[in-house]
Amino acid sequence: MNTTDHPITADDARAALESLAMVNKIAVNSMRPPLWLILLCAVSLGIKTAAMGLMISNDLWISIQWGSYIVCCICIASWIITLHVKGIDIKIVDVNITKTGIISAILICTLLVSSRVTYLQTGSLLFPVIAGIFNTLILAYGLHFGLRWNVKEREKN
Amino acid sequence: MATACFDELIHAPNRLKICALLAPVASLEFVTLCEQLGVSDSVLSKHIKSLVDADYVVINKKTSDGRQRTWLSLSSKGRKAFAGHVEALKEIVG
Repeated sequence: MNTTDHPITADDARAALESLAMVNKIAVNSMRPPLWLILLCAVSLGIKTAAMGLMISNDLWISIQWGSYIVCCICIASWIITLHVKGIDIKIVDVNITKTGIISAILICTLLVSSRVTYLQTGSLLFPVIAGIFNTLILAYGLHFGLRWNVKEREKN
Repeated sequence: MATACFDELIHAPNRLKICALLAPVASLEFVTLCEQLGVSDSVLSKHIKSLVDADYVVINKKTSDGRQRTWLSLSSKGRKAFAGHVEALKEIVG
C-alpha cells in the first residue's frame, strides 16, 4: 500500500495538512480539562509548594501539604476518569513528551525542592510563597496550553 | 523524526482524520470517534476495516455496565505509517 512517488499536488498536500491541523484542534479541545479543574489542581500544587517549605516542625503545614497533595492527585485522577467515560483513553506516559513539557516538569520540581531548602537555610517565608505562586502559574498554563504545545512541537518536528 | 513515506491508504480524507485523532491518545471509543468526525457508524466502520486489514488500527472490545464498548487504537505500525505520511505531505508542500 505504501508508495514512494507522490501522486498528489502540493495544493492537495497543503489541504490535507490543513485538515490535520483542524482535527488536532478538535482533539486538543476534547482532551483539555475544564478551567475550574485546572485552577483547583494548580492552586493545590501552589499550596503544596509553599507548605513544603513551611512545614518544618509545624503540624498544621504538614497537614496542609498532604491535603493539597491529595486534592491535586484527585483532580488529575478525576480528569482521566472523566475522559475515559467520554470515550477517550489518554496516554499516561507519553513517549513523545515535548521539550517544553520536560522543562516545565523540571521547573516545578526545582521550585518544590528549593522552597524547602531556602526556608531551611534562610528562614524566610517569602521564597516558599513565591515558589508556590510560580508553580500555580506554571501548572495552570501547562494544563491549559500544554496539549496545544505538544501538537505545535510535533508539527514543527 | 519519522521517515517520509506517502501512504495512499492513510491519505483518504476520513482515514487521515481517523489516524490524526487516534495518534495523540492511547485509544478512542468508536462512538466518540463517530461524533468527532461527524460521520455515520457505517461509514466509520468501512474506514476502520481498511485500517484494521492493514494492521494500522487495533480493535479492543470491552464490556462495562452491561454494554459493549469498542475501543480503537493505532498500532505501532500505524503510528509509524501516519508519522511517515505527515512527513511526506510536508515534503510535498516544501
